[in-house]
Amino acid sequence: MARADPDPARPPRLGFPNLGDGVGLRDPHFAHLMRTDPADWGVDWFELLSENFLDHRGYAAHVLERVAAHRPVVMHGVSMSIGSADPLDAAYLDKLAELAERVKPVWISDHLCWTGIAGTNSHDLLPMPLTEASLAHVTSRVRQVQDRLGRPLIVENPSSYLQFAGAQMPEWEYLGRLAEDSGCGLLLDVNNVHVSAFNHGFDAAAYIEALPADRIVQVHLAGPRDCGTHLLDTHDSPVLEPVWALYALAMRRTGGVSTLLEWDSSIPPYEELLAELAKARAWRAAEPACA
Amino acid sequence: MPEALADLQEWMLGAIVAGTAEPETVRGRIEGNDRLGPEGRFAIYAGGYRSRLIESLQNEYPALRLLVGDTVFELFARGYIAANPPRHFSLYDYGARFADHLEATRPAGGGPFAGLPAAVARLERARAEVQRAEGIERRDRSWLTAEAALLPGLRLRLPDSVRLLGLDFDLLPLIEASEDGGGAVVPEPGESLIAVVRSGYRVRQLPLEPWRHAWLEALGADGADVYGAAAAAASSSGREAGALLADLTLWLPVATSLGLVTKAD
Repeated sequence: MARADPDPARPPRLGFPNLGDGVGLRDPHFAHLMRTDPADWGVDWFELLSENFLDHRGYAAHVLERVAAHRPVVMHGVSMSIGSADPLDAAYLDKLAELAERVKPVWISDHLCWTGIAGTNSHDLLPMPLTEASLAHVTSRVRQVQDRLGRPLIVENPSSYLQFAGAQMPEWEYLGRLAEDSGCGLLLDVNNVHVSAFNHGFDAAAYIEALPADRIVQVHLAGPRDCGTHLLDTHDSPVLEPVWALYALAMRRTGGVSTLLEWDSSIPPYEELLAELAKARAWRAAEPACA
Repeated sequence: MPEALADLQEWMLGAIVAGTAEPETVRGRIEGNDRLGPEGRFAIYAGGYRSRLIESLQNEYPALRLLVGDTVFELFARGYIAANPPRHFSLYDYGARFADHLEATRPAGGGPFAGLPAAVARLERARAEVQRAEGIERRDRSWLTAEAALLPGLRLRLPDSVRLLGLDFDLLPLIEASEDGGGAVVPEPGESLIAVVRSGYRVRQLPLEPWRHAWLEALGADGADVYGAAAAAASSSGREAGALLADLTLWLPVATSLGLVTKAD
């Protein structure tokens, strides 16, 4: 397998900054963030789930306004359905653009997946068939989205539980070529790599080694659930030891990129979240290239 | 659009929504391995689809869930999901028609409580909408002085963060129990006029006297002249117009501070 080393002629991360260590902005922590001095928030940046704030004009919007005034924020979506055979949802993109205008995110990300077809929405991140035709389709749609939003899209590798028959390439090649051909960035979710590697039986480290490192803008960390026959991407537990090892590898390959801890279910108190995030620093310290 | 992609996606989502797929087709389209076969892999997505939607409804309708219990709530939810696959990108939008579904599927001749689930769902949906709506928290309210409130020509309206409801049950004790983590309270039948309203980012439901409900309804979201709305409220509530206006003078500052009305732009 060819290793995709960073191209020294290209700016790393598409020129985006390394924001440091962040957490997802989640409802159970709103009260803490509102009553605490921003100097004591203990994180460098926040990632918001775009869909939680589209059309929201209540307390969540009020919290977001305060957060965005004191920290960089990034918009992370789950509903773009970039891989669907349906036309792109113009109304969704308009609302995304409107939210971006409001909160000025450093970047906007979503997943390599499809969520619906023929007007029906699964509200799930469904896997793509890994074929040349589907890659061409997604590449074209990423370009359309980038034109609409006026910025590069950052695309995340999803967790998956099935692969379609007739695959013509592995997922890492699909993502690497998508980034090269469309100009998008990559959000490398090392937990998703671990989950999919377990579920499909590939080498997680080889996946990360094969991605174009200079296209990786951000890393996600999270904890999955072991269901015996498969791992489920639940974001409801601490990060697993093998996932930290993949994180260290990603940091070594990229030289350091923005790190985000996701915790979406059984969400712990804010202090506990920070304690888990602090482990990222310890793992980086063991990697001289990105410490 | 690649036809093969559309065909594959339509097959997969159709099977997920139906909750079942021909095993032979699954084995032909999905790879498996020793640990987990194609059918088991498909089942993860089919099961996840329902769980996610049920969880979304549970989050939006906690009082209804408290009232009817987990098993019956899940039956309601599964019926709704089967009849209404999601069409919108926002999961928040998904529960919007749950009350209508419960109303349409209530048992015929089911007695005085047959309409209770739909009534609870209607109130909880109103609460969810009010929570997300544009509120009055940032609006200047200094315009409202005792003198200015009833100036001829003053137009007021309901803010987006207000919903007026007329229900056949007193649901407030149930909502309170749900918020406080208490046990289910069976609502008493009886006409109940309420406003679901947000102020200081807090959502609450206020019982309203008929004339107040009628006056707020006459203002509407577009706004109306205060006196015109008072005349309409007097007519529909059977109160004498002068007495109603006198009461309104006293109540208007309260209504404004509660977030029930704002100045029409």
